[in-house]
Amino acid sequence: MLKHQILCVLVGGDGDLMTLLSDTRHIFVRYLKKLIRNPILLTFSLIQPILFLVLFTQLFERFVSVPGFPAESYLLFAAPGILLQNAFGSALQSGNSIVADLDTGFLQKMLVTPVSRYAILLGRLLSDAFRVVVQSIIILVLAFVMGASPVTGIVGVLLMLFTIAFFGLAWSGISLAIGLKTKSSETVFAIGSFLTFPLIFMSTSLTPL
Amino acid sequence: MSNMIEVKDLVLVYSNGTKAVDTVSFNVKKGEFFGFLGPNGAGKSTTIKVLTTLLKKTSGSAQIAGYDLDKDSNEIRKLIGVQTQETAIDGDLTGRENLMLQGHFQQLSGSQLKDRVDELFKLVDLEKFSDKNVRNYSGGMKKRLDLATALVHKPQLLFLYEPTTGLDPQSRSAIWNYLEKLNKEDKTTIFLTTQYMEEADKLCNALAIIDTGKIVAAGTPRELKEQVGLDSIKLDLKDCDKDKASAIKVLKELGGVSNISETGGCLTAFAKNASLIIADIVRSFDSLGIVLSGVSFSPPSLDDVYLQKTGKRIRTEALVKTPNLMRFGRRRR
Ligand SMILES: Nc1ncnc2c1ncn2[C@@H]1O[C@H](COP(=O)(O)OP(=O)(O)O)[C@@H](O)[C@H]1O
Ligand SMILES: [Mg+2]
Repeated sequence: MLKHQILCVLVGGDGDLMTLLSDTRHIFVRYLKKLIRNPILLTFSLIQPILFLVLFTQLFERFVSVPGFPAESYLLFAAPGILLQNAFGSALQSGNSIVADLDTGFLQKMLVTPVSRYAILLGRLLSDAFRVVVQSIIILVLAFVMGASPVTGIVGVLLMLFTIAFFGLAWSGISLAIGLKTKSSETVFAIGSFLTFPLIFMSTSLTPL
Repeated sequence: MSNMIEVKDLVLVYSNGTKAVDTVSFNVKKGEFFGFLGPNGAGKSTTIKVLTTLLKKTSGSAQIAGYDLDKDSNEIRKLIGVQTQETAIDGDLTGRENLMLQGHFQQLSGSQLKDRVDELFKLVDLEKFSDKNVRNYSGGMKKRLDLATALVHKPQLLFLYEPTTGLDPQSRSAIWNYLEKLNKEDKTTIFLTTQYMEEADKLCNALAIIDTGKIVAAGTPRELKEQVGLDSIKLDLKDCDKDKASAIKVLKELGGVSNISETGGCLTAFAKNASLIIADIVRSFDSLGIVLSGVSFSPPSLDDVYLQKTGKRIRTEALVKTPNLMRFGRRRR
């Protein structure tokens, strides 16, 4: 259908590396501006991980006394999992953005210009990765204030942010693909939550095996 | 090479089997102001999507400024400006940010782009609002900004999708003036779709009418009107319901009236030469006591052409008062 034909156009463009880079930068900046100008969205996507951090560390603190618990405190144990979950949750909104751009016609408006087709996706992915890293830093600072100090030091933290950025990239890529395929933000949301929640509760991120 | 657009046997079939464009051929000359008209669902949007590289055609051939639509789509994108059906501007950005972004997409930058953006704000009369968030713009302001974004790179070929729909008369005539200037002075070729026949008549020097995927008429507005060839006589009856039937009967008996249709005011009669027959109509009505509240006639209009070619009447609200060629005094009781 149309979305398939639009996809063909998406990957069919040419253009050199310089235009790819500058186009990516402009699209990246556009999404950041949109994000900053919608502070409510930003606040709400931070509320959940912060709630998890505060709530679960209170609830599950006694896990630590279970023999063989892999960390000194529950906070220390759960923080990385919460960071990843935040990365998933935020990057998942990516698909919605492309659906919104399809609905408003903004995507079509980009596609009738010689803008690099790859930059349209890359700009969005990078803006998601950037957002996830900034949110992670906020959560990390909070965890630090609550008493967690990373055993691996600053290098460990940087490595962690780096990993999270890549998780964000991958997850937002999946979300973008779903968005382009289904053209429905409800579907993106449904599939997104379907994928995220079981993953979190089945994983060892909040409770040790 | 004098053609800006050359379309031959263009077919577009959607994946659900709908043949939205069915073997369409037409040319648009360089510098022409081309009107592309047709009722809803006729295939206008689909044709535009193909010509603006958004949809891959199913078959046929199409060239824009000599570039092949499939092979050279990126070259084509550099020389076309497109105002789409949706007023697609980003509400989270300011007017200036929207225009700059569109300029960047067209690979413009630096002071060249800045100057162009300032020039465009002046042009669409949004200077005072350039740094306001577009979310706070009115519908008409958005429409004007949208037009500006399509012009940022001074395109050789401009696609306009109903550029004045929803605008107030003042903005509308401002846009008309600007488009005429763009076409005459900058030699921009313009491909226009509109719901307003009057707009097409005023602006376009070539027209094509599409219906259910096929071109049903093409030519200059004058040629098309001559094809229809009948004047229309608008008869407003004081008591339309009561007198309509007898009025139709009288008109049919009168030689020279070739067609009658029931329209807004009451009746419209079509005749080869209205000025000769109108006195007869008035006299016969008088003798039967049918009271006229107004009579006017006009040479064939694009509306009539459209009606005859598609069997549908396009939206007929008057945009700007046009003086009738002749208007009889209103008879009042
Ligand atoms: N994405 C689509 N998939 C299938 N059919 C479509 C699609 N878009 C439009 N059509 C159909 O193609 C025909 C032409 O539509 P369109 O080009 O939008 O006409 P217009 O712009 O003249 O109103 C219509 O019958 C419409 O229902
Ligand atoms: Mg349409």
